Amino acid sequence: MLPFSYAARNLLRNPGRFLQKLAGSVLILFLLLAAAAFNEGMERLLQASGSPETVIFLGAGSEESVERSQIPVQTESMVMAGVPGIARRAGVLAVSGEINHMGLIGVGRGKDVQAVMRGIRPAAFEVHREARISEGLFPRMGEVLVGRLAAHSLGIEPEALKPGKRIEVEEESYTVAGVFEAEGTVLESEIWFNRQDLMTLIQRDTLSAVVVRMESAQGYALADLFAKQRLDLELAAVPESTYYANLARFYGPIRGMTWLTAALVGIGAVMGGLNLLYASFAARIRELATLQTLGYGRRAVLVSLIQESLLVQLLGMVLAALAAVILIDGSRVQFSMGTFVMELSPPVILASLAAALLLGLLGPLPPAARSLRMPLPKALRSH
Amino acid sequence: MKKAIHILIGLLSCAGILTALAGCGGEASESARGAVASELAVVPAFVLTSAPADPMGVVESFSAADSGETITVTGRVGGMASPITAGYAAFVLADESLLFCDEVEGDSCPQPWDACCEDPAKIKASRVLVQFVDEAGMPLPVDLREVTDLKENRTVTVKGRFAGQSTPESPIILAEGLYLAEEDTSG
Repeated sequence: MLPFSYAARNLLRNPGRFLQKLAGSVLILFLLLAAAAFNEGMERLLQASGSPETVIFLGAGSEESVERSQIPVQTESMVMAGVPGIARRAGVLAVSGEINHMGLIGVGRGKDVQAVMRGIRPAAFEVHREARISEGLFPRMGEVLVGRLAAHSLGIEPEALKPGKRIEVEEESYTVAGVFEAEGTVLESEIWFNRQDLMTLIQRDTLSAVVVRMESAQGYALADLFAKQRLDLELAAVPESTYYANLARFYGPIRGMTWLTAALVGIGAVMGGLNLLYASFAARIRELATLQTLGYGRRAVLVSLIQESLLVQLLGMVLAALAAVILIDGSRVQFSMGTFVMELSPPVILASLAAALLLGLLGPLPPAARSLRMPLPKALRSH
Repeated sequence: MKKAIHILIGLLSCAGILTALAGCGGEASESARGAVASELAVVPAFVLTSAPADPMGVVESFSAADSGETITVTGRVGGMASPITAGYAAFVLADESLLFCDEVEGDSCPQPWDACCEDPAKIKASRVLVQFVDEAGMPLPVDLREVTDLKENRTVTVKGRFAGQSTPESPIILAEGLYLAEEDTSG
């Protein structure tokens, strides 16, 4: 076998070509990291937003969009009385009748932005246990509670939503009473109102949903049975995890487009890289033939070429990962449901590493096969 | 040194392959199925091998709601998007007079049993919950899809009586027998 140092020295024989190959590798792997981080961030947000113990009672026919659902206010007390197996803490049943509304928030300079609003009562924190108030207090009439990422979703400075600040909602003025956190869920992008306040603001006398936390994930069957025993209420019981899984499918085409875009650019880069490799190997035909003349078999030469390619790809992987850490990791992406954070998680990095290894192993095979198959006398005479 | 680098490259390759293989896993818990198995001796006894005589439609059966008599009712599993209860022996039965989506020419609705083309008020007045209960009157914790051939849009006939807590707005039949009609497999 050819020594590994031979492959390492060959890398820098032609610095221009080496830099071109490296740039192509960095581009492909950076795109892969970006696409994977985007998809995983969105999927993680939607999955984390759905708890297996939580069941949403919606109006029948509105199972795919809680904003379209309308159910009577009395449904909350009926669910409390009629559904067994509801979680309870300190004597408080985990049942929360809520209103979900998309409305306009004034963000200054006459600009209005769509925001996700939720009308709640204190029991909401018994149901959405991942949420906690990190600053300030629960909102009273005329006040709101803002999610930690609400400012980013609205495109304004976080300082504008600090407790004590005022915001304009549907031409009414509200004071920010506090800030809440709900790590990794869509809730963090929302603005929470006192439920009665929101009902008055949007002139609504129905709820969107009654959200219930059951004692266990198996409690869903009890909730579903209640919805069917009370056909008059026209309810559908949907596990929260199923609701957000269905939403994730809705965003499937967007995620598919991300991969498609990355793939199209990647294919272009791969073609360019292959072109470069063909040219590079063509310029070394005589060298490769000389090695064979000296007694190194075709397999040994091929392994050396693969080693060179792997070195370029692994170096490209390191640079791509560095660029991704600087440019992508921790970036927030806003979409209609909320805001998610792009993160270079271990699966994302390992997937890119696997791609780098694949490119390094398979990339040089076609041009190497072409170069090594040439008869030795002809190869030794080539220019 | 050379060997060490070769080994490192090999290990990195293996790491990539192992990551790809580390994918989703997890099997559904068997404990729920174990619980179902204990009920298997009971539920099949409800399944009737021959069609009961003179069944009435769902809407027609409401006239017998206060009689306390055992009645025979036929209808289609549907009237809503998810008519079969997950985890309990209960399902919603809809009257055959409803316009189901597969009866509309050219309609390719993925959930024809929800009768979404029908007047919502008529749907509301044409369905009943059918449930199988134990001796204490509690719904059996069995998924009928797992122990019978019950599925959405299937025509079934049940034998039972209206529950004491049944109301005209939320009718409930406590079933004693279930007959599954032959499926219509014609185009």
